Amino acid sequence: MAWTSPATFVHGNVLTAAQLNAALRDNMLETMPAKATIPLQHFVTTATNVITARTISYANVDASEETTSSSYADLATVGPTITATTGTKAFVIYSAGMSTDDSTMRLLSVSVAVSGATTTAAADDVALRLPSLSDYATQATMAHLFTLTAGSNTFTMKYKTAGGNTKFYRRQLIVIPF
Amino acid sequence: MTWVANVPLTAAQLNTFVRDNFNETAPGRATTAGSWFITTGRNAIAERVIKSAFDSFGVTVRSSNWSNASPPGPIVVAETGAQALVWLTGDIEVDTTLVADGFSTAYLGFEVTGATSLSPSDERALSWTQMQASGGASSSARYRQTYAYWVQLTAGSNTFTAKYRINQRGPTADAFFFRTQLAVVAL
Repeated sequence: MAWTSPATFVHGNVLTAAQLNAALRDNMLETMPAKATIPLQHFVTTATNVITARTISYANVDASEETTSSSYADLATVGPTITATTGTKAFVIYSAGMSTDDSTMRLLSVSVAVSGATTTAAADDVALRLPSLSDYATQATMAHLFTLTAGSNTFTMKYKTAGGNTKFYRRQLIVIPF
Repeated sequence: MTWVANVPLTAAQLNTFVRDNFNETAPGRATTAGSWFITTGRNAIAERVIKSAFDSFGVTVRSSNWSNASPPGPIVVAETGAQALVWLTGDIEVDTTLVADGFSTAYLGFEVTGATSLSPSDERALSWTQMQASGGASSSARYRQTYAYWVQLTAGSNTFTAKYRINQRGPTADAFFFRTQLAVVAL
């Protein structure tokens, strides 16, 4: 049953079971403790007087893997990848270590593609982009508030390089859905 | 309250302990999709938003004083408590072609107005330094990074505005800012 705006009780009126069921039972079923199902959930508004539990997710791939691709692509181990039920927004945090063996300084990029309810290709607009040359390593984090179509959305990290055999490692992905 | 056998239940009690208390719960306070709930004190919660603004265009800055971009950069207006988490993200490029010998640092910061008055500061900014040795080739490379800052505020409606500056050592240098995002997680 949905939320009902709590009634104003009036002295002298008969209190009915229907009133208590609507004002107590059904409304209590709409509160956080009633909707909590698993640990690490948080609650967001999904409509007026409606809250929904969301789950923060984490995924990682430690392995160092190489690419020479100049357009966003998967590595030998795809991802990290997270599938989450979201509203129209999600705060996504992603990090990686990276280096290239090219003797010329090159720009290395890590981005996120979204599929499922939303289709958004990995792009420079939301990418972490850092320089490297001669195997000098760097490591950093990027965060972006994604606009989405509500529903089941899959977030996948993607990678590209401006030159050389480029390694990406310690790849981490966190999705905080709203 | 604790209910007691044989004590009459009054309308006033039900209004206080049922009606009024339910109106203080999350579903009672939920109004804006995508918001979440933060405690504001004992037995009190508030709905807070997570907002961002993104500008895809590029701006050039040569001023060493904090300034607006032209056109203006991202602006976020949010109802906050006494704190917020602010994320600044952007592509930053410093053109050292114009610098004979030295380095220049570009800063992407933010100003807060409204309930809070907070001027932009290097301490609360994403920065990038480009160096060029005397006689070396000029360089101009663009990197994209993010910076997060936990800011103390006066509770109320606060406006967060992106600000820009470049700290130059040498004659002149240009800073270029592209694809700038300012995100505010209101607490």
